[in-house]
Amino acid sequence: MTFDLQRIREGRSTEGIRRVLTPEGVEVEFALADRGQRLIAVLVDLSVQVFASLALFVLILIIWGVLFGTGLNGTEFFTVALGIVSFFFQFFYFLTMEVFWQGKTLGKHLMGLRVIGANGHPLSLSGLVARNFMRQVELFLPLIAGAGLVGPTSTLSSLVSLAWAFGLSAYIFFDADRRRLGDLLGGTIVVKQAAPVLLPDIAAGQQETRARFRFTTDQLETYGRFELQVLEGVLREDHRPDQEEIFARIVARICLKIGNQSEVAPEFHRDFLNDFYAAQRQHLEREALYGKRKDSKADSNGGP
Amino acid sequence: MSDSTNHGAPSGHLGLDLKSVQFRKEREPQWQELERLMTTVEKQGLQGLSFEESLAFATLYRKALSSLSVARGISLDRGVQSYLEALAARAYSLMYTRPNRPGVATIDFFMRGLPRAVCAMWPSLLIAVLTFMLGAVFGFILYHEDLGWLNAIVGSDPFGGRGPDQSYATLRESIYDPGGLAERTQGWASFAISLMINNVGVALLAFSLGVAGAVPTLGLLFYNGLIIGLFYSVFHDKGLGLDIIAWLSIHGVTEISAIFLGGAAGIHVGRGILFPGRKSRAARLRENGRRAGEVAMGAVIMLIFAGIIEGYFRQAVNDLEWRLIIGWGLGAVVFAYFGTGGWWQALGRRNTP
Repeated sequence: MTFDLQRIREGRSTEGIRRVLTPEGVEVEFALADRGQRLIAVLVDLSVQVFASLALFVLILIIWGVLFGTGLNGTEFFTVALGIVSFFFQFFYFLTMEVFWQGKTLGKHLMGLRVIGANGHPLSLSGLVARNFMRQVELFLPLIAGAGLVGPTSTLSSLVSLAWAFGLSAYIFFDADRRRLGDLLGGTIVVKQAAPVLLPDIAAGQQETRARFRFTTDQLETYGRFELQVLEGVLREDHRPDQEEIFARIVARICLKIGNQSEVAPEFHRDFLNDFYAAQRQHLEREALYGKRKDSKADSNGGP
Repeated sequence: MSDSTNHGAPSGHLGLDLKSVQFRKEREPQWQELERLMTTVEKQGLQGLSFEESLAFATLYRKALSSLSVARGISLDRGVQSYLEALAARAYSLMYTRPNRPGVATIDFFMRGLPRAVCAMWPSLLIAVLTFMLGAVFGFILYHEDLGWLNAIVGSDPFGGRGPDQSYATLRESIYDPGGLAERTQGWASFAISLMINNVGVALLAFSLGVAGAVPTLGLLFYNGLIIGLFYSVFHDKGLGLDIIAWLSIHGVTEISAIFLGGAAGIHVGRGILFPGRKSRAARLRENGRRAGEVAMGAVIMLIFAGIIEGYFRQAVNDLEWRLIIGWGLGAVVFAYFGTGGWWQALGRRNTP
């Protein structure tokens, strides 16, 4: 995993963003899951474990009762059925879910999370096994020790083991990639599921309708990529109450910077900005073709 | 400089010809098709795709990655770029978050992966066995040093009424139950299940405590050995040494081997942390962790078998010879399976053209 240099250059936060090098040689960007989200997900999964095993147990009892009547040596059968069901749910619930559901459990699905291989390795069966068997010490040991504290045999030793087990579980708070020990062993990270949304291209409309405003090459030399993207953000978020005022201020600012003497009528502010955006983008694209990249207005030479 | 209020501009094309707009127009249908396929995969898994569709999925995934590379290089449109980032991330996680064909992978795991993993970590396994043995010997010595140790370590009623105060007859009866078969095996299943859950818990604990430098794992192995040593001593002193070995063997060979495997897995993880060698600690830990996970899985499977044997056969089989034969016979099978490290599979392949 690497940090996103582009982000750092642009001054955007790299907190919780990781790039994973895919086997195809392209780095793909992922947002790490928040620790709180993971906590909620695991709590959901724990309750699913409890309730699903109880439900399955009752279901088995009902089916058995219907098939064989009630005259069976009941107590033994109850113990065995409950034992098998809880055995499966305790040790294999997480593993089975993650293997057959593309790295998701029910809790992760609800929180929009998923497990992926950390270094662009495909998620492997053995990695998932290692990751989930570690829950024995990271999740169940603190639970058992915690239960020992409130139980009838509350002792100093359960307090000590609780503290000790929490010490191991707390690793997740010290890892930059927010991995728990199981993730470390399995070579995995937990990320937010990406939801791609394709916004309309602002410049596409400008290409078809003719522009109201035109700009000279000199005027377009002023700004760079960064300013263009800020303008893009402003044009996309056009439902604010003080929209008119913001547009007016930006238009005035741009006119001042590029040396546009003539007045732009308020009803044309929006058109002016759209046209300027399209023209500026075309200009920067053209320059980039000749190897001149201009990252921001401070970038006077047109890039390295 | 002030030609920007050109209201009555000549109609017709302005000369606005954005490469990026064209780029997007050409590729957008591919992106949308990829999104459609991904929705199917999310809902139904890769099986939900037809043959052509799964080919298209792989191709479109690569095309999306290449679009992303291009967009990062040239695109000034943050909208497109962040869309492609998300699209590639989603496609990547669907391409690579599912172990390739879990069914085949599982079979391959039992045929090759598991025995190999066990053989590859033989030093850890040796340490696990020795630590356990050391515990057992220690238990035997402590018992004969001072009986007080017994109470100090396992409490006043150590092995369900099988204490040093019991007579020869009582102890003998506790391992050769005089009742009929049905009486002896009464309630065996619930007994087997509870043992199994307990043992699997212990084996996985031995594995997962490896992250603490394997020290707790060693402690766990030593403690279990100690208990066995004390338990054996109780019977040994009454002249029932061989009888108790037979009684323990029928399930214990499998069960204790499984605990060895769990312990070896933990020790292997601990070695990764303490002695990473030439690799980085994270890389070594990942490598050892996966292998240890495989071995721990093997231990779990073995314990499921051991639970069944312990619950039923230990009570059903009532003579010394058969207990030894079944127990060590199973042990030989286990040893043959792991000891060959899956070589037999390679042999089979060489013989078939």
